[in-house]
Amino acid sequence: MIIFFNVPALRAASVVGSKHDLSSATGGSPYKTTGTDQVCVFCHTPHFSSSSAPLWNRSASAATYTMYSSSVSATIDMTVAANPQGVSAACLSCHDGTVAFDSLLNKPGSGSGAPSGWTWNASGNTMTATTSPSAMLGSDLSNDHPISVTYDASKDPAFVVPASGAVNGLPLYGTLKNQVECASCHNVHDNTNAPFLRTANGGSALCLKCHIK
Amino acid sequence: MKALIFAALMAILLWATTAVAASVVGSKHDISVTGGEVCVHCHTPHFASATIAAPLWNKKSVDFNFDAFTMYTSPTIDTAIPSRPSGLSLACLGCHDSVSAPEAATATYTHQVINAPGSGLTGTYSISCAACHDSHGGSMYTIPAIGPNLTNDHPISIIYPTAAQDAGFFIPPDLQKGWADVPLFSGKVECPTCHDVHDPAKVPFLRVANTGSVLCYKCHNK
Repeated sequence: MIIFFNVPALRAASVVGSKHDLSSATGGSPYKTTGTDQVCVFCHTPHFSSSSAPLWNRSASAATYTMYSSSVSATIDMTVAANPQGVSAACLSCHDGTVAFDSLLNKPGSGSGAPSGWTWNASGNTMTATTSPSAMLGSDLSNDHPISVTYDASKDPAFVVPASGAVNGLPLYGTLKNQVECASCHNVHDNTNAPFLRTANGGSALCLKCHIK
Repeated sequence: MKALIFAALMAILLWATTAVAASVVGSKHDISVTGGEVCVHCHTPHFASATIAAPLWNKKSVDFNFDAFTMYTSPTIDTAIPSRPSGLSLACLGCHDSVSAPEAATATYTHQVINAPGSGLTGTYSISCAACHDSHGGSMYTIPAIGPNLTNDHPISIIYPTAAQDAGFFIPPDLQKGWADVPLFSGKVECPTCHDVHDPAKVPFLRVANTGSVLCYKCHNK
């Protein structure tokens, strides 16, 4: 007789305690508040959300972005959007350094509205390039891997052909499931493969899931 | 049945091996330590160079002397000679010029890499020294040192000559991008016009095998 136990997911793969946890109780981020012990509220809310990402709870960044383009490198053959789209806009709402971490649509507790009076630790309430380690990309994305790119392997034979909206398991986004976004490489909730990579990058395995080199 | 399955598995293995036979992994441009990242020695997804126009370039240019190069010249060349290398050729010359001063060998030696593996510019960088240096010869290069004297090398960073400038050249299908197998970059001949840095199949990293000088005859109508 075999008995299966419903073993819960290992905590090592949880956002709780990771660098994306800004809460007072378990926060593993250099940016940490004393204002709440809730973890999810910094990105999600069950009510009054916006649409950049599932049940999104943050104000959009008003920054003007410089996207990666052929003026950076003449070799790119796929099309890059004029602005970050979808889930990438969500990531940049913290990682471009312009929006405060507690600039939320719906505070913890009952009723909508932004929180107030939260205290943050010495690293502050927005991401800065001077905090070590720096994960701030800024609004100049020309020196970063292109995002909001329409993945089209027919334009460049050096790319793996996608299947069912993914490339070797890395997801593509958008209504047509063909956009490379930040979340194609990064799993925002899981820091097993730092920094929040979907797979380990030993031997550049993550790069080689899409790039045939 | 078992033999059939075995044969199928062997066929898949052979196909898989063949499919990556032209990969940079394991080539002379793979300077990684065992199990280490391969791409990071040239590329990074974040914080890439804003100075060198190669995709997501991961090398600093602080010690790169852009004016150290003596460019090719010839009494017969009809296209303009640039004053310094440009674009993708600078990426190649960053290792192959023999003058780009590496940073001093210290505990945080990064050999000009901007962003090591890991998070937020704080990662640890490991490289195979023997991939480029003679272990008994100190700092001596064992890789081809093309620069800084480029007078004895095929000209690069030159605009592909027009038919009016020189009828001795084939006209590419696209004046900016050249041919599909031998590309121009913004209309210029660069090191990657002839060399595919990731593909070791045709030594040394040629885009087209040069048997019978076929690569030369792609452009030169001789």
